[in-house]
Amino acid sequence: MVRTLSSPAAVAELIPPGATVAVGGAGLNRKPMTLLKGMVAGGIRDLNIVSFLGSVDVEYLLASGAMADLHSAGVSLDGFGLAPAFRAARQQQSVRFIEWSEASMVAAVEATARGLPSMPCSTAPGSDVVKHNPSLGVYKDPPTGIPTVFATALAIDIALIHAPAADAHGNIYVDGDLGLDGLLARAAKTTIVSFERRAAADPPRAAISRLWIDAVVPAVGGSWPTECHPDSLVDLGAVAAWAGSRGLTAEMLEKAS
Amino acid sequence: MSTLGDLFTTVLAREFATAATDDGVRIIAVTTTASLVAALAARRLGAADLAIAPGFGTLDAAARPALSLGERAMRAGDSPRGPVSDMFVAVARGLIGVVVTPGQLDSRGATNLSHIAGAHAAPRVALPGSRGLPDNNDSPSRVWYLVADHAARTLVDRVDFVSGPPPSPQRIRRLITRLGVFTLDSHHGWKADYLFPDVGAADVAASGGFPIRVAPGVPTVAHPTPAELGALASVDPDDLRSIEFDGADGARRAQRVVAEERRRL
Repeated sequence: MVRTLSSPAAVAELIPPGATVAVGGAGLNRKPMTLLKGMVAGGIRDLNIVSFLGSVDVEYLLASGAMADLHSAGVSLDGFGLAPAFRAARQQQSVRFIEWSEASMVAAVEATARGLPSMPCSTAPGSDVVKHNPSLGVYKDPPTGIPTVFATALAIDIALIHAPAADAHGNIYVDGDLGLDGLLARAAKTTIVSFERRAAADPPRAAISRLWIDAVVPAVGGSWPTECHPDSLVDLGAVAAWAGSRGLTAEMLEKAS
Repeated sequence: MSTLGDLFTTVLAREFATAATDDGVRIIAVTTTASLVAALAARRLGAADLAIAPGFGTLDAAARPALSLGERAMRAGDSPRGPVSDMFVAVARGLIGVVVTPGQLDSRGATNLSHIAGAHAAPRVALPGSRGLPDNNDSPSRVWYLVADHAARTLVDRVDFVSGPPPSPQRIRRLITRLGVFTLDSHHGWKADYLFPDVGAADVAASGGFPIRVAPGVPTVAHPTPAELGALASVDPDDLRSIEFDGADGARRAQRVVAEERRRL
């Protein structure tokens, strides 16, 4: 049974300090900003954040001081260039950055979803990413002896996802690219989805089945300033201002609430 | 008179169209606005069936030019969607051409998008992170490196961090810079295929951090034809393709696009 939370702020009651929280969306698409704000407002700190392709989600969490570790394949502001808070945090060593390739992170999350200790992936054994990420290793594929990168399962306590619509049963509807969200929902111990509007139930069209969802909560504009097709476009002006700043502005923090 | 953006985008469109018609590339994974426009133009220049992947799980998008990729560029709702693993399937089967923009590219074809100088845990200059470079640089799929700034800081003898290890000898790897189009020959290093107009071998030798062979008589990139300029104008009437090449002018134009977009919001 999928619960409906009373408000986005209630998400904080479900997240213990030090939890591993996976953030849905990719790049400037469908980042669950209102849920992140609720989590931060609830005083949750020391988080291990998993953001497959990060952007303003990572910038916000760095500015809030809630993040201890970051697992990601990359963080940028898309056409607006480098993410300033992420860049500064790495250079000042104020966050531990565990770098993944895209394929290895997908394999690690899929291993978790399937209950496997690890999964092979197409990441090149010679990449320095493999050397620096303790969850990756090169082993000989047992049948062939071919050196292969294996990704250890990445345990996820909470997945936070934003979507355009949910039905009364908790099925989730997304028109655009699902990115890693379907896998995150299957791998996380608890998956919480904020949504723009209620949709009539149409399970064959659902992007993520209610089977993988624990709680939903309405949050209009919940991905601002990132896109949530068809309800909102990327707020390019806000992202451009952010890219030109040294971090988050007070206006952005306020608007993300 | 065509701009650098027109020229760069036209070169890319020619590369994509040839790869599609002659070499069986079915999909182009785009990473910049210019590469997206080039893929759209390639459809009008002989590769009508070329698929465009501006997002991770959307390999055959009803794409349109945009300053940010993802849902906006893929016309979410009008594009079929597959599982996230489809991208890796397409790469493993060699069906996709991938456009990448590494922070550093080296003489062996190794790429870096993690950091410049310093240690991984304490970089002097942090870059976004390696993304798919460890997964695609030695894959059977074709890779184009877009490094417009042909300079010693971007084209280096050895990358500071190996995101993507050097590709195997049989891989087709092309580099496009403001000076020309280059191919990696794993036995003999990089060589020039074409130079841009008004660029000579001395310019190439004076730029970049590794040697590039420029054979006598290497051809010059042909200026965009009227048909090619027409294709660009048709798929990208707002000239978003040029913004990344126009320096301060590009930034001002991007601001106008942003302001117009905000009015629509």
